[in-house]
Amino acid sequence: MILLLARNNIKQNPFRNTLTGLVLLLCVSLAILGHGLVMGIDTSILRGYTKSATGDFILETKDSKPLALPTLSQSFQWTDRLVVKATIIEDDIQIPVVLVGYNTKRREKIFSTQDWLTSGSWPQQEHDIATGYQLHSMLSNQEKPTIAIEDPALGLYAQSYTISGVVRTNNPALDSRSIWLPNETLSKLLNTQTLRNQILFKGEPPTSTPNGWLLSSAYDKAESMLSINKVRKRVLTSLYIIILAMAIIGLISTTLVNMDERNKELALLRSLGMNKHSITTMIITEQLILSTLFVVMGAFLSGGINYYLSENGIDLSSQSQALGSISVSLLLYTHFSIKWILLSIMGTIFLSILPPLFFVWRSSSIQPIELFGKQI
Amino acid sequence: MIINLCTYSLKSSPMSIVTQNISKTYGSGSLAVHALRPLSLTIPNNIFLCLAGPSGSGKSTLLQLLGLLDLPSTGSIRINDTMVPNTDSPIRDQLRAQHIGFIFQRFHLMERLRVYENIALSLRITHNKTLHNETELIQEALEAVQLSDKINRYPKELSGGEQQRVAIARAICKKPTLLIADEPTANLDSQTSLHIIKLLHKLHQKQKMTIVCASHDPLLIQGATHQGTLLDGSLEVDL
Repeated sequence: MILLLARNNIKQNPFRNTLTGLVLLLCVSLAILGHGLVMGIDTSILRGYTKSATGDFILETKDSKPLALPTLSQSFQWTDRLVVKATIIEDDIQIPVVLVGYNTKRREKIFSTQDWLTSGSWPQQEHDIATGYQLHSMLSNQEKPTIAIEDPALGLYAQSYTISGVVRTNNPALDSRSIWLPNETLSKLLNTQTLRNQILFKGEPPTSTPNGWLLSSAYDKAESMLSINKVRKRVLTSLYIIILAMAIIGLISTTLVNMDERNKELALLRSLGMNKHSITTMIITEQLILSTLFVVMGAFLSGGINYYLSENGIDLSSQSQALGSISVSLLLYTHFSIKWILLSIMGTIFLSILPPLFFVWRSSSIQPIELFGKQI
Repeated sequence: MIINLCTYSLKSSPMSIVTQNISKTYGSGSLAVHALRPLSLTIPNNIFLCLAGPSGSGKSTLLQLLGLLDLPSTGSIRINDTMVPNTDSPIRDQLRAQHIGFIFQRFHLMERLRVYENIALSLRITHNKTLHNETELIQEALEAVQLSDKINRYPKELSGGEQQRVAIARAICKKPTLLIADEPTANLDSQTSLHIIKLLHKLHQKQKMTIVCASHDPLLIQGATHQGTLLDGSLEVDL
């Protein structure tokens, strides 16, 4: 009997049931994808950084002061870098940048160039530079930007350079601020000769840390970036909670409206003698069938998207290019959690059952004739 | 509290209904509308009572109270020797399911269920299960209303008269001891009305069913074994 009535209801109100189903699907998808995005912010930062990191480990001098290169085994995959802060000066505009001088002989060994996109060429001539992808979009009107070194102790130089290539690493820090140039060019500019302040390693790190240098992993570096992410995470979490609450209110009101339209049907069933227990069982069974169908469908859909994004991520920078001047360099990963998906499924089904329960309780407390209204 | 339903179970038919000072008032104070003034009435078995009266006189209200679709404001209803509780109780559901058949003016069929399923629904609610002879009972009811050939049709594929006959089949398939009909011919043309009236007479005569109906239709009123007139919530009845 319950199935007969469930079939009748589903057939009788395909639009109403589909609408409720879609709201259920939306609700569970929001819960799963929203959670994946919020919890994936840190993952995005860490994975984005480590994926584009130019080494698994880094040896740095204290206070970034260049030192003489320590003796390193040739068997390591390493490269020496000279990293200094600088400013691009163009009329009234000053853009803070980081000059990354690298060992050209070891560049292909140490840089994760297979994951990078490079247009143009790496610097060949003395006054050639490569810029980060996002920085380049800011310099699009300048063919020969003038770069000034910030630290007077290293010597104050200003020099015009030609942009020979654009490098896209998907690491926001690198893409937005870095200027790449050979160590020799930067050494000449700073007059530091053989001094270096960074050494990058792929693979095993050195067994001991040379005097005056600090050793850290790329993951440690990425971890330190998370602290600046706290505000963004808090805002996104608040937004997620608000949207989820709105979706829940939408779900409850849609289900309630759906139920309210069934007064006449319930009136007839009660006038035929159907008791409250059977009516409750019928309504809950129908709602469970509907909810389970759409919620599981939504969970599969959003869970699948979530899993894909957690594995491969999505590059928002390519999407942001379409917006023209607004440029966002961000590789987005989501956090995939089976536990949360199951919790979302159960939570959505539970929430979808509350309005029918309320409806049954309310309609059971009035007589069949009142449920019929004036239309007997 | 555990209610022993057996305490309230009805004796087998024949059924008699006794009302004592039942009334129905909507609203309260100066806004109160007395749909039915206190009324005491005894309806013996196997009669065909037709209530007449102008619109708003309380005919439908009385039928709704007798059919246990509504609670009286005052008074009590006794069915055989069982006092019907004046509260929302499972006993009222049980009584409705097993002993009362209600025919509505607007038929109230489930549109997406076939004729067979509409009638089966009533049987399954009454017995709380699917009977092994369900098909036979449904066919029997449909034969009584001469609709055996429409068993697999949907209500929308039937005319108004045919829909009302399906509603009658639904009401009689469980073999109720009391059949209540609220203006069963009001929405039908004269030819179809005549058919329904004949059908009700046949049910009363052949199946010895107690029928209480309300109608404006002179043919239906004249054909009943007993007539009553409701005026301003008061009943004059010749039993």
